[in-house]
Amino acid sequence: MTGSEHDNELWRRFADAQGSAPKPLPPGRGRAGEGNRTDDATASLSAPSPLAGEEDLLLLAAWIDGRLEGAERETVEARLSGDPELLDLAVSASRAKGLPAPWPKRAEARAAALIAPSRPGWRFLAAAAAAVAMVSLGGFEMGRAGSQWVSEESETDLAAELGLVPDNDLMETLL
Amino acid sequence: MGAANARQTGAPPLERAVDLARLKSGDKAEWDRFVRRSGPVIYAAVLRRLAPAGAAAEAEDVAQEVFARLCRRDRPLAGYDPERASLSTFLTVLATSAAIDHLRRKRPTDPIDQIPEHRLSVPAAEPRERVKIPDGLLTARQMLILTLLYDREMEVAEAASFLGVDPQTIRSTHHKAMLRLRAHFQGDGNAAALVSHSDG
Repeated sequence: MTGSEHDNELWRRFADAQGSAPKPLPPGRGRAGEGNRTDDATASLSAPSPLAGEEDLLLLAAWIDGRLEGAERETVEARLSGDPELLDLAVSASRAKGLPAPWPKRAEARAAALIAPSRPGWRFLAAAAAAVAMVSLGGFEMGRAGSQWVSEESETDLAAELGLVPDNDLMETLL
Repeated sequence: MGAANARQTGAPPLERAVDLARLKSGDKAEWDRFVRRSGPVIYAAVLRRLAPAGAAAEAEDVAQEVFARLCRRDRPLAGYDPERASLSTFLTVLATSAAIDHLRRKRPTDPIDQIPEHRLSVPAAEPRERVKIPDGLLTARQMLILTLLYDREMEVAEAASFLGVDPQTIRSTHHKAMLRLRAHFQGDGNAAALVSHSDG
């Protein structure tokens, strides 16, 4: 047996002894996918998403970016050693990082539609209603004034059309 | 230092392409810009994980799931802190996690009596003696390197790339870890016998 094979054997025995039980997180941090890192056979549709632990995922992203130092870095690395699924996630994310791929336009439209254009608030609606009312009222008043003006105009136009000339003497007499 | 194996793509960082403050306030135009710029990052991470499993066609739906998750609270990206990690790495981790979860959920659950006998057979293995390594014997970094080299069967160069360090650092750390293990098990009959041959 070569030295390398002995190292392998030793490490296998070590790994068996450690098992794959993840080490507990430090206080205040929920484990990524808490409760859903189930045994393969028991994983089901009802399992909560690993995205539940966004804080943990942010910590893992910080580690991948090389931004962690000291105790935080040790905590993440200890977790990676003891949790094969978390290590799998870290390796995959690390390999995929910085390699964008073109994605379908329809997918972009679907994602964009997740946030609807901002809807007007009640205050805006009230102001809009008041403005509409004022415009309507103003329009009504203008319409009434316009009607009177149109009536007078119409009468004058009609007299002119009929060739009727105002009799100034008669007007003075009447007045 | 963690896995600082960032690849330079020439594209401006996502952080500079979007206004995080406006995005977190729920600004629709900023959300649209964010979707346009981050979509390829999220989609690529999802696709990279799903394609080898023959589920590339589902990548679009999983990417949508990620976006839905990102804006599920009142403020989009409420869980992201630019002081902690880069936006593109955070989104890549998030998307990869969603893809892994998707594959786990869709794993077939055939009744056991319909699974061919040969698929249920387990290769015979000799029982292994369990060796308990005391806590604190190895550093977290040493443990991780041993895990990468032996459990993940990574090459030294690959482990170095993953951890963002020089390959020589991997070799050196591995060597120190093995020395510690050997020293610890000097008094242990089987383990001592086992490790005494690994010097060559």
